[in-house]
Amino acid sequence: MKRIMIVVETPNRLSIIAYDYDNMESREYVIDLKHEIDPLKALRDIEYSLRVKGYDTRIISRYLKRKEKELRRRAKRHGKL
Amino acid sequence: MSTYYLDRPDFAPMILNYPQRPIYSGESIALEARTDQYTLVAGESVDLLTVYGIGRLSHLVVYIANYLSLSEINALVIELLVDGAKKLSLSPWYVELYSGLQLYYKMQKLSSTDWVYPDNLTPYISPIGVHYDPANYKILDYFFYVHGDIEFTDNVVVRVINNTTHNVSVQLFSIVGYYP
Repeated sequence: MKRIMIVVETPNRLSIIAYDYDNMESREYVIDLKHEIDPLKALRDIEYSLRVKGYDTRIISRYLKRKEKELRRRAKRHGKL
Repeated sequence: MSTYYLDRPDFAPMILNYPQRPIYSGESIALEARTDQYTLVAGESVDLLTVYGIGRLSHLVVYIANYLSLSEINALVIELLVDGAKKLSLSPWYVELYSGLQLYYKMQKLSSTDWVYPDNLTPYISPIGVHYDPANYKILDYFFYVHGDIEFTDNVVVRVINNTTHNVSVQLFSIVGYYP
């Protein structure tokens, strides 16, 4: 069984910890929010690569949906969208 | 959801469950969620650590560093939000109160700048140590922990509010237990 465990967000970085129960192996992906131009795109790429490998990525997709909503709300407030 | 068939005691209990939901006892895995040292400017409020997923926060260590007086460090607030609801709001003064003002008593007795440690650690909320300068009545470093299984089903946020008039740097270390 392969799953995404948690998404940890701090002001400087976003890390995704995934775990493969069959091989007892963990993976950690870190996105540097200070230097990454489009962090959400980077996260989408990580989600895709993990989904291809057979991981359950529901936690990431939920996180992405929430962040996109936040961005849209922020843009609406300033008359951009 | 799982179904336990215990009506046939001569057989080992068979456990049926939905796919991708294993049977677990306690925590399946402990994970570390840690932040870098982050400097909050005066009056800033930051969600310093946000963990998304399902699990429990079992141990949180907070490190505060600056040249702060007692009243200033007590104006720093650490809030814990579980699934969007505020569950805990702490400042170092409350940490001291929960532990019986052990450190503050020892700090008064200090003659030169040194580390002070409590004699005993209280199980849930306790200071770990303080680096104190008694000549200027300033705290250089302060460590405390919050221990207890805080369960979350969606997210847990540790928010730090700097109500002081100085920049304060804060670092968080936590152990997050995961279970499906």
